[in-house]
Amino acid sequence: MQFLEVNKLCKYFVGLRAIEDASFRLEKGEIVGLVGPNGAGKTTLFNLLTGFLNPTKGEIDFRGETILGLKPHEIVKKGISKTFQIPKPFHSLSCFENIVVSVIANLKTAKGKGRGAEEKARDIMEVLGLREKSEMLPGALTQGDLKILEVAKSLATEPELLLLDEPFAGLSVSEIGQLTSIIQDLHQNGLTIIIIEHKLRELMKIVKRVIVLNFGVKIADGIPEEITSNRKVIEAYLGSGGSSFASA
Amino acid sequence: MFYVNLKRFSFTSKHLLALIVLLFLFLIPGLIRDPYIWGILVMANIYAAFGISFDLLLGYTGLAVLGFGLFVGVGAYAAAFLNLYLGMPPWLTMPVSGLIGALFGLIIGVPCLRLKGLYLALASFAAAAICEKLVIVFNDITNGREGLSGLDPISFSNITNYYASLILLLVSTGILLCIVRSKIGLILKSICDEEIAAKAVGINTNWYKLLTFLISSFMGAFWGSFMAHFMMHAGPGVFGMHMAITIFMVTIVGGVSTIVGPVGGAYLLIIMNELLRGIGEVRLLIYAVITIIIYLLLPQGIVQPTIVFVSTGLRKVSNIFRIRNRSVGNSAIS
Repeated sequence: MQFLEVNKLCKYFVGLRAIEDASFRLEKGEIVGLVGPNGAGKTTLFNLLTGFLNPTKGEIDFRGETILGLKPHEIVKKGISKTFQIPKPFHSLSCFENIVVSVIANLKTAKGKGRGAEEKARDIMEVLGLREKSEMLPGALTQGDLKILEVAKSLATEPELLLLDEPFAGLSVSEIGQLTSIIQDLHQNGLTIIIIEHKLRELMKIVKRVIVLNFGVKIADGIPEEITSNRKVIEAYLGSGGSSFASA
Repeated sequence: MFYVNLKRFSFTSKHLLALIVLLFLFLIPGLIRDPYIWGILVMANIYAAFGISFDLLLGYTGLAVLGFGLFVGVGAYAAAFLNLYLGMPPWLTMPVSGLIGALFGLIIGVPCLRLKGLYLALASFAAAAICEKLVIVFNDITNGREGLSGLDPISFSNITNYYASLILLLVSTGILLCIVRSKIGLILKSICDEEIAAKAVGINTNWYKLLTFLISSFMGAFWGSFMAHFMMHAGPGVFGMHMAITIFMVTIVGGVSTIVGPVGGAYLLIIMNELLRGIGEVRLLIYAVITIIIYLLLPQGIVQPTIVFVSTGLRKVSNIFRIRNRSVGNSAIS
């Protein structure tokens, strides 16, 4: 049984092809980068995987079951969770409450039973280094802490597949370092992760495999070393003269 | 939050203030021996209940249901039908009317779940306007614009009406405070803050919004029924713009997302309305100006700043007494 199988997925908006025949498979425990120029369809793909958008055509199977037609909250309960490119914290709730509410929302599932929501939230804050900020409102956090809070909210849903949408966007070098080590720890603990990221140098240090989209079409899928030297990828990022530029 | 505070509960100056206010509300009939005033206070309690029910929708789920008068009207007419045509007593018509209001909440709530902001405000107001017209059209059973009169009163004594309304208001406020300070309240706040993010952490936002609609419409109809019995009349005006705006103002002036705020807002606005009655139509102008000033100076409503101000004063007074007692104790020891 495949962990995640996306088969010939298409999404068309009125007059626009966002995703065209995207197919790929993911093994449990993989950490994969999803890259491509702006407008390539990366976030659309995340929205299709999490039920925020319905595909025009195609199949998405997660752990052997189709997740097509499920609502976002139902997909979260199946074990897929995503973070947002621009953090969306619950701004009137403290950091602690932001995580508690994410735990509570999933308490009815079998995996959430047995431990108190507050205890779980405290554990997550401890692991991600947010303990000191537990009573702070999100408005008082730095961009780096907001990104960590996004990850914390997702982890509170106890996902098996975590989708991170541009986690490094707008972060300083030290904040990227902190978030990188968090992502690596999560991966080492067995979490399957897909990361959308434009900061390729930082991304390539973490992931073992990269999928490249351009104008909604998958143009490459392989290990980071292959991807960085792939002519199609270079052209997608730098234009048709890109390959000569890159080879020079 | 509630689930945390229960473990760390300690009596604070805010609790002392709440006790003083409660004591005052229970002693008012003894202090002011005027049945007319008691009647005004009953209306203040009724509007306070409308306000807290509306606050659950607006302040905790972000649903601007401007046509809240719909639920009040359904409750009032349900009480009138049940009482006048089926002979049900008021103590029975009120909960049954609440259930009928909740059914309307479900009917209106399901299609309205897709709407937000101004669109929801207009759609709900349109639903209330349709009900108002239906009541006028079916005048054989509703008595048209005149409305239905002769409902059994809760009591012929205004002092009984006052205490009944006060106790029911306390129960209603208590129930809503328990809801908003529970885990459900936390989920409602998250939906109000960022609905998409709430969905992304696994919250069934539509279910919670519908739940809020049901609770709020039940309360609105229950109190609409209370109002009809108190006034012994149910007329089409309860569905109208005046009712909607009054409930909206009570909530905004008192303070959104507070539950207790609209209670203060209702007492202020209803009493102010009565005090200004003596000066004729100019009162509406003065009423509007005072309301605008409150909006400008205290956008968070009057109740929260008042609580902070008074409870800080109470704390300072208690500190002074504590210091005095300690110095008296020290001098006695020395």
